[in-house]
Amino acid sequence: MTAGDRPELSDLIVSYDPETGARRPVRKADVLERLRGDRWAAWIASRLEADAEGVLVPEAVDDLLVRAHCELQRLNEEFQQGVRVRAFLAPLLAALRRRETPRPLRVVDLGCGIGYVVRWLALRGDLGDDVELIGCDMNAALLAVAERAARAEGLRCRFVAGNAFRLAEPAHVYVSTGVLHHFRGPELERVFAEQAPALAFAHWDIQASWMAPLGAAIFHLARMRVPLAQHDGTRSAARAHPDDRLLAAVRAALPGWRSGFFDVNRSFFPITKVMRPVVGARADLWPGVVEALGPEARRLADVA
Amino acid sequence: MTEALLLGAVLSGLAVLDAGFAGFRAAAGREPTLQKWRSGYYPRAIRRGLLLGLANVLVVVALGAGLLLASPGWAPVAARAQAALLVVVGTYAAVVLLAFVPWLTCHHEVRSLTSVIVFGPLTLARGPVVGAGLALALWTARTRWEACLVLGVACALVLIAEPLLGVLGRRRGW
Repeated sequence: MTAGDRPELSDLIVSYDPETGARRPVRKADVLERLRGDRWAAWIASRLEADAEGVLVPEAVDDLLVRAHCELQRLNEEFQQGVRVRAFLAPLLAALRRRETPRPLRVVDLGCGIGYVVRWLALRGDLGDDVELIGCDMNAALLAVAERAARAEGLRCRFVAGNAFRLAEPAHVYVSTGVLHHFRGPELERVFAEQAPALAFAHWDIQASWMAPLGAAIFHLARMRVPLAQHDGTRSAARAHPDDRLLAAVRAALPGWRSGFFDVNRSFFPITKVMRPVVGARADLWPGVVEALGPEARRLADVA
Repeated sequence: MTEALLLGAVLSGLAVLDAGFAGFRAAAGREPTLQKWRSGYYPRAIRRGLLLGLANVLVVVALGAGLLLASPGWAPVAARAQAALLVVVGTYAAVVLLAFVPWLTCHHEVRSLTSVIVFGPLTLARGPVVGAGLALALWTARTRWEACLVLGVACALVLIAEPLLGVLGRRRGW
């Protein structure tokens, strides 16, 4: 098993029906079986609370995931992730307006967790009153935290539990942060194919590089207290999809779209860009996006 | 004696400052709201750290004063050990404080980069740095157990500040 094949704990300890979003029981023994060979992860999993039938207790799992996501938010704050998302999203939305896209413009954050990016954008409040910010995740506990935090600060955004591709009102734009590497094999093509009804996307994920695993290990050990967060953060860097894999998946799934990367660092020392977005839009929309980016369009790469 | 007091004061100041940072770190990554500075969440956390740091300094001062009264004469050894410790932890503190200049004043890319290459790794290095400073200080002070004890207690209190603040924070729901 390569480093990229080793699963993250957060993917194993929860399970949802992909269509209904209903939670499914997870047996601790099954998790431990999947973690054979990963002693660190197995140790963490062995300490998870299970009921008399060996099923992981959902409340205990959710508490752990909430704590891990709060720590993850700290990383997003340090990496200025809200600023980065806004840098591409604002011009993209301007392009949609010029195209006379029906309002409101719905931006859906896929796998939003506790909704940091959505809440940050709502707090910034300058994307426009015609923009609806929606965070979507399968985990209701994480969304409850997101909702509480948003209400506490009076933020104009909302959160929906379930499949982001089955919303009653579909998205115009999909965004995500640190999610794509969770989709392995043909699932990666599928997740892009599901976005076909939308107009554009921008998905930030760890840039695969020689230093990503080392940097991730240092930073997650320095910043995270929850062992699951340390483990998964370190593991995620090894699982990051290389650029060519991402583009191949996008272009296979969305042949009528233009796609590429925004704001990448291809030098030997890519430390300045921990995460970079793969971006795309329908072919007829793309020239408008480039025009709206203005001088920032020079930060686009590998567009086809 | 004057030199020992002076160096002790500088190290105490660094310890209190470090405890303030420990308060911040103990609180970071626990609160999902966004305006943690404006709401007072981080300022309160830093204040708790500073207060703990002051309390720790008082403990060390009391211990040192008591030992000096009981057995005077180890002050010169303590001064040399303090100087050795200050070289190590003082260098670390200088790098951390200097890194705040770009972090506070520059573009978000620079801020992010500062976090990635300085604050993150230096947080991880903090324990080993204090340990290395203590080892050097203990070697310097090896002829007087009083100096070793005071320096050992001081460094231990520095190292447990953040975990202690974390536990207190969880129990009190800060």
